[in-house]
Amino acid sequence: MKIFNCETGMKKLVRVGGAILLSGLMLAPMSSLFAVQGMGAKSQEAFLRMRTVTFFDTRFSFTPSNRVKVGDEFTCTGKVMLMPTWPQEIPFSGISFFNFFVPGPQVLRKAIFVNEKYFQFNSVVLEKGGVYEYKMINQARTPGIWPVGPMVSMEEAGPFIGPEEFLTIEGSGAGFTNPVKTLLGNTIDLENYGEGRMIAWTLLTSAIAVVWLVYWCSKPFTRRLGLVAAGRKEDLFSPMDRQVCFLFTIGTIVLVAAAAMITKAQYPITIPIQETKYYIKPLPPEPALIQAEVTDATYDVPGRTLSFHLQVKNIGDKPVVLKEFLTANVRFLNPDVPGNTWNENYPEVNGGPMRVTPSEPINPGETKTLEVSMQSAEWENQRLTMYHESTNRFGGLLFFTDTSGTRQVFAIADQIVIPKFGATMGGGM
Amino acid sequence: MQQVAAEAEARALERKFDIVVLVSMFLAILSGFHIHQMLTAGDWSFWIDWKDRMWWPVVAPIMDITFPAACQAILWTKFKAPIGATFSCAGLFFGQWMNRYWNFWGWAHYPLNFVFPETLLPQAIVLDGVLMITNNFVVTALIGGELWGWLFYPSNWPMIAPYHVPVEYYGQLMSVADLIQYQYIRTSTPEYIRMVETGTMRSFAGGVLGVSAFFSGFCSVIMYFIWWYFGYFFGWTKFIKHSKV
Repeated sequence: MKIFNCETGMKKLVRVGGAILLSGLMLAPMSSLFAVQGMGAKSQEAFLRMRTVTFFDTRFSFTPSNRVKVGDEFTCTGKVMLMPTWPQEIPFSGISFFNFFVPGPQVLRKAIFVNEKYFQFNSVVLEKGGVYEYKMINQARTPGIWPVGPMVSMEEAGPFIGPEEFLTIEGSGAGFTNPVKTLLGNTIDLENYGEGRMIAWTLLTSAIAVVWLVYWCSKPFTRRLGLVAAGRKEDLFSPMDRQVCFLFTIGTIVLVAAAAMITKAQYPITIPIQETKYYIKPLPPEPALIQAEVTDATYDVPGRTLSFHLQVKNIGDKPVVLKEFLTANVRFLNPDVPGNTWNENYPEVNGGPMRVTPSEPINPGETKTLEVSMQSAEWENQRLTMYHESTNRFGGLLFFTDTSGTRQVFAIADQIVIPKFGATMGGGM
Repeated sequence: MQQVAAEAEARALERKFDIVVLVSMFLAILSGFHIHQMLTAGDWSFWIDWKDRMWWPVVAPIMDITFPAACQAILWTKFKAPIGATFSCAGLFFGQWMNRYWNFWGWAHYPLNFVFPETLLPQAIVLDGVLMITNNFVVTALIGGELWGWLFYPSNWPMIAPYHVPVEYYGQLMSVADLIQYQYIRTSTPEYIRMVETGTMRSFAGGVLGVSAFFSGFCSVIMYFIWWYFGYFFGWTKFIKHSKV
């Protein structure tokens, strides 16, 4: 009969348990539970996303399939507005870089145009209240499923993330090339240009260092500690050691100098890395259809409803309707406007319907106070509720259109929101 | 006969012990130096378009002479082994290559020509050599520290020169390094270099490379002293009085 040994059993248990725990920890990052879900825009504060930079009219050329092959080019177009009332809490320098976000170089950024002008690799200076139109041309490089989208990085303020789509890149990355012609007339492949030379120099300098280390480490090492402590330092070096040391020291300096000079001769024409900043004028303002002012706003916490009053004066010559509200890449559409239905190809999040009361159009010369109400789970899902934050103000873009289809974008950028903690479902004012 | 066999066995055991000590030291220094380098030089070392910007030949050598100085303080004063700088820089270089190969290339798919590390090995050998020849850490700081700063740029120029060949792209003049960084997206963080960087190596018409190298060497001298004493302090084994043992 086998007798259970408590001590051995416990040891085995600890060993097996430890192995399972360690394996779990190592495999955890590979689990779908930890899969990357987008670019983390939701981790930014609501007021930052709603009141700084707002992307609109974003379109990807790969929709609706969201699939491209390695080597295919695709575009991302759209507009971005720098909100006129920039939050005091967030520094504004205007020095920005238009970017295309993707986790690493899974796509190549072939070119970006801002207001139809080629956008350099350097920064631009943007204006508050300005609208800028962008076109980003990219090329698929690495197979996989990647979140992609437009983005603006601003000095001191950080990255502002536009609407995203998940793009599937099909095919094989093997054999992908990225040829470029230099001004010296030769064609190079950016995928591996200069690699052989870099590896050769790395191996050469490493080999010299290894020989130096092997020379010294091949002698008894730990024993040296005792000999030094015993005051027998001089016994540790032979005349050959000193010659080797001299040879390596002078030889290395000569080698570096020679290699630099040979390289200079091989590459007589080089330029410094470029650096500049330049201004881009914003787009001309859109036709003025309305004058508007938000007078008050509330957020019904249990009802998940943002509501505000909007005083609107029609200064155009055609009836005007409020069609849409867009904030932090979430769109709310007015269902009372004919044909104003959600298009699945839009990259933004569908926030749901926007109730506008009264729903009738505002006639030319008429002034009306509209009650705008949006009940949506997306306020919570997208972490756009402001009652948790130190700055409970909201912003976003209102889209008005007249009967001819002319559009005016109106920015709400600095409206305080009063939360209603005990209100019942239903929203409204 | 028996004594000879015992001596041979002792020698073999001593070599095995040496190997254990050296490998352990190598891994420990590799870890510490690599973390230090990532935190201090960081992006200056990661990207080809940051190399040769105004601060790279200044920041990288100053931040990287630290561990070589500290290791020399231990390996020279305790063991009289002139390998402190080379040993630590080889560790850093090995760690950096593992990082660049597995993480940057293997995982994130950056081409190696965008992310390879700069070499410090030639300067390290010279620093070790100067210490052994002079047998004086003050002279090593003054001469070796300056050489450390001066040799950094020419040690790396054979690798980075091809990336300074000019390219015309959409009517703009760029270097190959500019073009690589433009096309191979880094998503966000390093974009700030374009915003904060107000000068390149050749901003002042005639070039600032010599000035940068001299300044780098000057600061490296100071850093050498500071980190020599760090190494000396942490290599000190007299923490407990004999009477208390």
